[in-house]
Amino acid sequence: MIIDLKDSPLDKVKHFDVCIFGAGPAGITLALELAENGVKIGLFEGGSKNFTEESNDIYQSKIVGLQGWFDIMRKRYLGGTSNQWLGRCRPFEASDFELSPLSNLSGWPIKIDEIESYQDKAMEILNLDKNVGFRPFHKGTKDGLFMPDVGLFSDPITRFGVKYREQLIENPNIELYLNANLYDIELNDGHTSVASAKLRSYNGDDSLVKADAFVMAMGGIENARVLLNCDSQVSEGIGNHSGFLGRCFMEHPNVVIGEYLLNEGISGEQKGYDFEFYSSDKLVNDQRLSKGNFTFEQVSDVYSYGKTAAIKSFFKNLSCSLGVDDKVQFISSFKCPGSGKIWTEFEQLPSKNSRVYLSDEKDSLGLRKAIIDWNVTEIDIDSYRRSAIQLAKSFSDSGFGKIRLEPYMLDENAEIPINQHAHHMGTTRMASNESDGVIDSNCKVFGVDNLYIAGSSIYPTSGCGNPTLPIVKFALRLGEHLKSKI
Amino acid sequence: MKLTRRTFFLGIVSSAVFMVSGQVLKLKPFKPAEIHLLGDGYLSINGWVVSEKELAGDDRLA
Repeated sequence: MIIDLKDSPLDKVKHFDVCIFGAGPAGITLALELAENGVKIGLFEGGSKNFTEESNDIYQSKIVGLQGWFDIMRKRYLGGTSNQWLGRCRPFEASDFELSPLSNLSGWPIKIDEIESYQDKAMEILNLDKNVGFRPFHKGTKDGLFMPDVGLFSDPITRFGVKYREQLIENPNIELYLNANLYDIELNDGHTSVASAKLRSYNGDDSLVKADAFVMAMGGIENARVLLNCDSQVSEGIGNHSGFLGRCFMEHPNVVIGEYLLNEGISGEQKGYDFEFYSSDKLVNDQRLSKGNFTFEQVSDVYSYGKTAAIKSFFKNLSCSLGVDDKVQFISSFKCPGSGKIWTEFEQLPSKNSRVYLSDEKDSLGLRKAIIDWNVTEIDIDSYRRSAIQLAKSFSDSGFGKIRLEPYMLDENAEIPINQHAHHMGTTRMASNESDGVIDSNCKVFGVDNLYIAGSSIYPTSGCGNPTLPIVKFALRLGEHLKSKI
Repeated sequence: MKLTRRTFFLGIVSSAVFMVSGQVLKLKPFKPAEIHLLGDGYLSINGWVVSEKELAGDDRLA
């Protein structure tokens, strides 16, 4: 059943087994998983079936740190940001659940085993071909410091609102509400559980819903913003007893580290694909680095656009025909044929100074808007530089080719331009105890018995793989937990 | 072409321009390469990361 609250509010308080706020990848996965098992679900989406300015304007925020286009990179309607994602998936690795030696904050309180059993189902949900699987297209560098990456694309790209709309509507255990914005959460007298949730439509009408459990699946920034806004009973916002709510906001910094020339060391199968490397655990542990995912763009273009002659000339001159002085002059004046940028998806260490907090300005619903102060630490920057230099050495030593690093990767005093990947993580971090985070290992908000969080805001550390596949796995895991509780 | 005062003057001026520009080009200093030592026997020359071995000619690419 689908109900649009745009025109009129609910005429009475509705009661469900589980209320889920947000109909993106996490919310829809969880709703379907629970409904399959007979759990009565109220699924509340703030937007409509399709994009509307009215809904997406709710995401307007003030940016005071690094620029991340946080407003336009999120979509607020049925299916959430899956409506515009590129579909790249990568599973977490076992080491992603180990605490980085560089971090001074806590890491995951669970191990990878906790989500591995959901891999097959998550791949099915995300249209990931199990016959192809997560397999490498090359062998990595000879020194074992950089492994081949194993990304896989959703094909066709799973737009959750499109793929699952009919299932949501037809499932007798799901009531899907559109234009239903979570506005406030009312706690019981002791503030130990959620008594009800208030929904607000765009014309200001309010409705009340009750449930045995409430799940916020509204996105990596929005989960924190709405909880911070819930301050009528708890002044610092619900779930913010430790002060971590909204803090440790992480992205996957995208730094263009330079460009490359290929030698002959790539197998035929690689042609037509981006050439990708992933920091090995050996590199991360031995050299004390955060992880990095390095993508060498346009490998097929380098092969096919007639640039091979320039590349061969470069290597010929470098290897044999010139004296040392002439080689230095030759290299210094060499112009790259023009393709083959290397961009990255770096791990960002959690830091309390990178955060989402509230502005005094309010959105059209009356909730305070977000101020997003995304920034990385000096330790991150140092790690990105050292990783890039090591990659250039290992790439050359493996006979793959040559890398030219951008001047800012070599000059410690230069400012590195940092872009983003629209991976918003960490603002309701999972922890083993309430002094280190917002939720426990079951995704339950510390101190509130029936309030849960889904989505990448729960990640205490980010690794450097795309977050959507783990989001779906964690949603399935939360579904299993809630089934046992309801 | 008939030699007139105008063509004679143009010839003198263009010769002067050629001579001056030639000297300017000669005097333009060669921009030295930016070299960073990167450890493990590697250095970067204007960003290109190469090994000292390659520069010395003891190189598997040869």
